[in-house]
Amino acid sequence: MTTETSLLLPLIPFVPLLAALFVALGETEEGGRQAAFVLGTVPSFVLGVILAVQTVAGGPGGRPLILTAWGGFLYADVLSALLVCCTFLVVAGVGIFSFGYLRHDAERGLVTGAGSKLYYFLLLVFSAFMAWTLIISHLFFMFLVIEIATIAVSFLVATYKTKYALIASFKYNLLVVMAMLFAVMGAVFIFARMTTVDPTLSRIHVLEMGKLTSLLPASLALTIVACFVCAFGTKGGMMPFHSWLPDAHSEAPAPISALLSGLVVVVGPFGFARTVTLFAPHYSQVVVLAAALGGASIVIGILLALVQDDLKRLLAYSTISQVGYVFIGIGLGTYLGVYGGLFHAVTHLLAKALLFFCSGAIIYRLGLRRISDLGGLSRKMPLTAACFFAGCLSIGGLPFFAGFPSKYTIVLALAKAQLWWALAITAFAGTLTLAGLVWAGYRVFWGEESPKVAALPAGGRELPLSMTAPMLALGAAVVLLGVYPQALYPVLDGSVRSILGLVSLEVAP
Amino acid sequence: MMTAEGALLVFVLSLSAMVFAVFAVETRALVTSTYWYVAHSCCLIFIYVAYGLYARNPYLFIWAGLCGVNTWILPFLVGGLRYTAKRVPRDERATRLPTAIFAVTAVAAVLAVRAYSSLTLVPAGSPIDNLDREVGLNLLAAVLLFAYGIIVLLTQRHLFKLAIGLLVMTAGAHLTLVQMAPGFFTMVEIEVLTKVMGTVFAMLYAARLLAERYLTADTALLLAGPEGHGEEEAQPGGASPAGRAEHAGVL
Repeated sequence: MTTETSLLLPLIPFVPLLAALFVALGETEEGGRQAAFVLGTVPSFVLGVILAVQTVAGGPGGRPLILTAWGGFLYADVLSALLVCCTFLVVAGVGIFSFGYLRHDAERGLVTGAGSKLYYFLLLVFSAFMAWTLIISHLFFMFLVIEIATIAVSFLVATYKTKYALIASFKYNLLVVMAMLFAVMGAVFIFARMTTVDPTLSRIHVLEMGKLTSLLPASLALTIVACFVCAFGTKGGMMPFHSWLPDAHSEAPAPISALLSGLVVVVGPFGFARTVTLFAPHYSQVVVLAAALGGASIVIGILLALVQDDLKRLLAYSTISQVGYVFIGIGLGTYLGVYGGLFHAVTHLLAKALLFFCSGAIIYRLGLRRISDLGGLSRKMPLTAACFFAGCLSIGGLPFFAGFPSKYTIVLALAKAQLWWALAITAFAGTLTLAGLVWAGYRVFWGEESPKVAALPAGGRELPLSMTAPMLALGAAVVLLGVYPQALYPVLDGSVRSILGLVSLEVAP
Repeated sequence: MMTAEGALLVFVLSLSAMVFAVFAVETRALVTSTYWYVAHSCCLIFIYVAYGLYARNPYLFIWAGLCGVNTWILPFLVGGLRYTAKRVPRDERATRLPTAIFAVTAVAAVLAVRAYSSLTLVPAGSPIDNLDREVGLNLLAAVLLFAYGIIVLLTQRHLFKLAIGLLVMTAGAHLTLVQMAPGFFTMVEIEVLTKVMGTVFAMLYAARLLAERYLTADTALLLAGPEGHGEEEAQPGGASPAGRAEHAGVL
């Protein structure tokens, strides 16, 4: 492993923080805030891409490259770089989509000028602290920045300040803090054991976790795994720690639901990959635990999704189901499993953000989100219909859509690990997911035209450009990754090598 | 290594912290509940100071100082516990369920530990390496406090009490840290302190808004109550009735 100092690393969270300060303190109109938002997220995305290119290229002799800054306090391997890119891509998409969405809410009197200001400020703060989460090497500080990002998201969930939104926000805060306390306990157990071996140890470096896992006694290691599973399972919305997720998704504005499903839950698998996965090669119980919880998440999530009448709630339960695939893959601790898990995290992020944008588009035009109130929308909103189906088919795992190669990789990994029961669950739930989402899409877009949809004026522009552009970009990405999944191979391969390299495993695919 | 005298003092203080935590949760008047929480927090400060003195660990004095700041800010700052307690209706529907469950859990934990290892006041060697042979009473008390926090979070319905439960759980985590990882306190304290304070203030803000609009902070009443003040129309599309029913079951 080669390490190099990088000046770009501290800049990545600094840019959105600066923009957040401008939004908070500047006396600008809506346009000024929007410009600040774009200037706060797009440069960080570009910096993330540069990081990814540097880390994928590797060090001398093709060895994995770790970029560091501030004496190793910040680091970036390929996985961090990949997720930094995803973070700013999704946040930029969410922000741009919100330009039109929030203006519409303001016209309806749902959001005030101050509310809009707070919205963009919190979005920028979230993106900065999400970036910190991905690049901070000190395990305890990682938990701290996760928590600050959580507080920002909880305020975003409560944007409308309705009864249910406030309760959802309260619950989200409460459960995530509880989860992070479990993570702290897990880290303390590691620290307590390691200080008996090395009394000079003063902190736990994320990249040194792999070395520590083999030094722990089995009973302690499994206790630590249980703590981390509780922590990152809650953050990722995995069953049975998922209860914050449907409420937060359904009560937040649609763009924030996209952020939650696309990005916030990714912190769970990221933390899982940095901690629990490193125990998997040494303890077979970890693999079984991850597969069992992931399997339960997949099946129960999709079954609950199928009975929902609220479109956003349906998508939220589908997220619980899809996150199960990610946890199963990453929990396997094999090259193929971790590759599939990370790949599915990325494809799900794109597809689910797209689906929530589509639900936002429907709410924007009609103010409705109950499936039973909708029907025959495809004639009035053809673009949204096309994007929605692209998202559904991707989540369902149909060939030529992004979800197919990622799910297929996880299935292959399960077969290779001979976890046939888990494979059967994923196959069964995959079919249900495809059928359920397509059925929901059919009822919304092709079913019998409801009176409210019939009253919608035909013709004219379907949505503002600021809402159409992110939807089209995500739709194109979902199809592109389905047709050409190799596009992500260098980054995913580097990420897997980076994770498994920490436990000195053979990483030949 | 801590002396038997110091360990006994810490144990007595831990028990006091636990009793005050129970009072903070059980008291229906929220302002009184805040003062019980302050008493609970003061016990924590004394524990850190006692640990610092007996274990000769200077980090613990810093930690005690930070806990002191925490003890002042959380209850007494604008937006904190007392401020919220004055603006939120009292917990009329409080049950004794969390404490009953906790009592059973505590007895079961003591019996389980006694069955597999011995309970000692001062464990020999590192607490983490000896768990199969001997368990320190102080460690058990810390873990039980953590467990009580979880039980409160799972059984209480009043938003203010949920915030108290979270703080009790955090206190349990702190005390466990003291037992298990001496020498690493400042970083952990800063982390836990900042995190929980920010979150608790955010949670109390939500509780005040809800109490202001719906005149209760009891989630059971909030979720069962009528659609107050036309607020639901604020949500584009409105939440579905099925979704609302699920809310009631989850929190």
